[in-house]
Amino acid sequence: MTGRKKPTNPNKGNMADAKTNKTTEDCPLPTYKLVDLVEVVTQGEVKMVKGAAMDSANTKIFTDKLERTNKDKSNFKQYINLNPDLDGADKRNPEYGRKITFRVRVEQKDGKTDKLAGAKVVFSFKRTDGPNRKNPGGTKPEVWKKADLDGSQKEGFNKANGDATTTKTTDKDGWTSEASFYLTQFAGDQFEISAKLDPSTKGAADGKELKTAAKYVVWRKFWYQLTHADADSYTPPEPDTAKAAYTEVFADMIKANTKKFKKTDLASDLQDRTFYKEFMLKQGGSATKTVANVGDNSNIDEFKTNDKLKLTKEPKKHPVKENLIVCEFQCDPQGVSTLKTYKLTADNQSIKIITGASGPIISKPAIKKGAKLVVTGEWSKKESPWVKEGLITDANILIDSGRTSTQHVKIKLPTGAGAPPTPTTTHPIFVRLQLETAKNYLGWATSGGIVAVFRPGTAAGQGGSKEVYNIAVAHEFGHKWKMVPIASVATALKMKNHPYQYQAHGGSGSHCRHAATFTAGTINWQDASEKTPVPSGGDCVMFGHLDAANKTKFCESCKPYLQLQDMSSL
Amino acid sequence: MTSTSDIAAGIFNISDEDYFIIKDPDLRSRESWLLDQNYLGIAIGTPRYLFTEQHDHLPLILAARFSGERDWEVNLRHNCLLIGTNMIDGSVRLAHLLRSEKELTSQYGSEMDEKGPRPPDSELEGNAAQLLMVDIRNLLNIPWSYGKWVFGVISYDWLSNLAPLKLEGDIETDEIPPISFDPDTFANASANLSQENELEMPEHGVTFLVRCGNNKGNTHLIADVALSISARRYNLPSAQSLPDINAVIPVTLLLLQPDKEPLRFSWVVPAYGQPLNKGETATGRFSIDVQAATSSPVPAPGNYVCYITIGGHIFGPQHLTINK
Repeated sequence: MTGRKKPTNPNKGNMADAKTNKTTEDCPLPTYKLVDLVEVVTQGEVKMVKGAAMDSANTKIFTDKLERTNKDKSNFKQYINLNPDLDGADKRNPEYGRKITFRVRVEQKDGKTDKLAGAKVVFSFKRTDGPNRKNPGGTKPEVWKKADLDGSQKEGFNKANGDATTTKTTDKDGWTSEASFYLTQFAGDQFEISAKLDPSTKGAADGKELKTAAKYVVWRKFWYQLTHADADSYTPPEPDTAKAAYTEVFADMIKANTKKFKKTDLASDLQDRTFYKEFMLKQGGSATKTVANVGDNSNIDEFKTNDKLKLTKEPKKHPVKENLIVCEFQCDPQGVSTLKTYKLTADNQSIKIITGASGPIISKPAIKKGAKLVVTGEWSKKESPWVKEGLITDANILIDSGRTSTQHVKIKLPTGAGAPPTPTTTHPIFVRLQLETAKNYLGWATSGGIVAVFRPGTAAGQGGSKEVYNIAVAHEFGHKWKMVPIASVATALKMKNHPYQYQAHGGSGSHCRHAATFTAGTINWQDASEKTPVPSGGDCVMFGHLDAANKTKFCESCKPYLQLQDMSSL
Repeated sequence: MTSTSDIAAGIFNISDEDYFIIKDPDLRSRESWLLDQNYLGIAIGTPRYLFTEQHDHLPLILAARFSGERDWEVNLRHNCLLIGTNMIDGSVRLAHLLRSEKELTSQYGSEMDEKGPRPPDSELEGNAAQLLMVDIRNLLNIPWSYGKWVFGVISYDWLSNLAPLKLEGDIETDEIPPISFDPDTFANASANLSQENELEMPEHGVTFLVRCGNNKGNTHLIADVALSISARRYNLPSAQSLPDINAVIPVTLLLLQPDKEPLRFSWVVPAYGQPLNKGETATGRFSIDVQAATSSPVPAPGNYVCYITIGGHIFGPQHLTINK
């Protein structure tokens, strides 16, 4: 470096050299070549990250090498919904967050190392659009307001929606300073990073460019705790097709842990209201098989407060996590049955409870927390006028495993003092009866978690089958991800309103009626006060109710919204 | 047979405040009373006045007495349609009254109740009674401010009494905007409207006939209506309305089948004549081609019952058969 009179501004010097085709003898600038394009992460100290970028043999400035492990085929996933500093800055995770950092190393072509500082390197990127992006919505392109993303949803160097290129200068070891690149918010987008010498740097003329060997793909990741009963070897399957539905929108759904609960883990009143013999809740159910029920106004609070059942929060390890509660039945109290006078001509006579507005399941004990089964129970020797002569209680109601419907019960009349005579055809006994009822559901998103029904051996397509269970899981998580976006959610995403989103019409919450048909009439799909008509035949996993046409996939209209969702919290 | 109004008077002899504090045992005793009545049908009760600052929900009590046979053919839970008319603007809202709150908020719905084969007669004989309290505020998405509503419940061919409600709350104003209607829909309805039919003009109320007509070789539903109603403020046209129109009347036609989604057709009908004031009688006859006016397909063949709601009143049922 001796004799250099004008050590500054190599750019100017080089340009002059190019024009005059001579070198400056007093300040000979070397010719450079690009050697390494590496990804780096700062964990207190700078470390190299192997994977998409190069694995440099020059480790002088790096204290360690890390390796990306999450692959999307030959490319690498970048989970943009997760904070890279979950475990603290000294354990920064390079696979989390929208920002990826790179450095490039140059060498002097003359083999010397005396003038490595000062070379300029230009970083650039190439984006391959993720599915559903530039062919927005497939056959329904109305979802996009414009062809590109909006504002901070975009990629760029130095910041989101940042620069198309960035130029960095090498240090005395030949390494540039860090170039930070921000991926888009659109899951599925792929990025390739490249670097070349700035035209002002000698050696740029040979045009050599370094590129990342694989692409970075925008992904999201969330976790669930699988919670289920530990009874009769009940083991729900992994919701693989639900996971596949999220894979299609570039989100990994991963089981973090499993919790199994036993009868004794529950409060005493709820033990028998959670674990039933199957025939109590299902027509033709087994008399010996024990099944678990999780329901509202029953035991769901246990899954919010009981350490043995509730979600184990792991904010540093699994920050985006939900409790997936899987059970054979999801019965809720459905009010009391009709009040009716039943004519008995024999003891232990079977009667069928008239449903009316109540639910179709009579179980013992009743599903309702703290409730007796019999709400009104009286007997009399005369039907009219009605004169109560004695009481019918829970002890007088028998439920037979061979009953012909879940509304059938047997009445064993009281015995002992004051008991009615044994009824006969000629001398019947009349019983005025009203019982607690229940109704079974298939899935439900609550503040205590997602409840999904799985019953082993159920025929495909039926409620409780593996297929329907997977649909329920994907559907309920969909709601957690603001699906189907109402107008305000779509606006926040800078997208148009979802073309098939609807409110009410058979439920509440926001659903997708893609491919659905509906009855004639004047319909305002956005009117939450319109409960009718209920559409049928929707093929999207976000359709409002179980239908034979349901698929465990998001439709072409739903996908872009999901791909642009911020999945940073559940 | 006891009338619905007698049943309503017998069960809902409670104060407005009682609707909010009534306990299960009281409901059960009223249910026992209902079971002993010679009555088949449905009746409803709601508070007549409600102060929105004092209450956050709107209870409606449904009283029903029915046979086992009826419940199997027209199950109460699956066939109770709540109709609410906003008497400020004439709009009509519908909801399934007895789809449980869980069913409405469950994100994936419930398992279907299979009707199955007809049970033996012994299981269908006799009558049952049921009293239920339902919060209908969210069911109909009722704005929680000043308002006037009329509610009714239909269970296929059974129609309840009507229950009026005045909501006392904020935003009380006499400056009710004229009825809002989509000009295109209005024009479409008008274009498919005939001002004549042969129905007898009622002294007060509505007579109607829904029939199958022919439009260019296709079956269309034709609704013939003759009405004589007191004009409410929302019926009076704004100054910007079309000339000669003295009233605009929102009409909702409902077609029902057991266990199926109700079909709803709504439109706004113009009445012509000298200018009217609020409270004066608007009369008129019209026949409307339902399909042409609402751009909707013809309902599937089958047996239906029809109702028409105008101005908070529900008229019907009328039976209709649509052939293939």
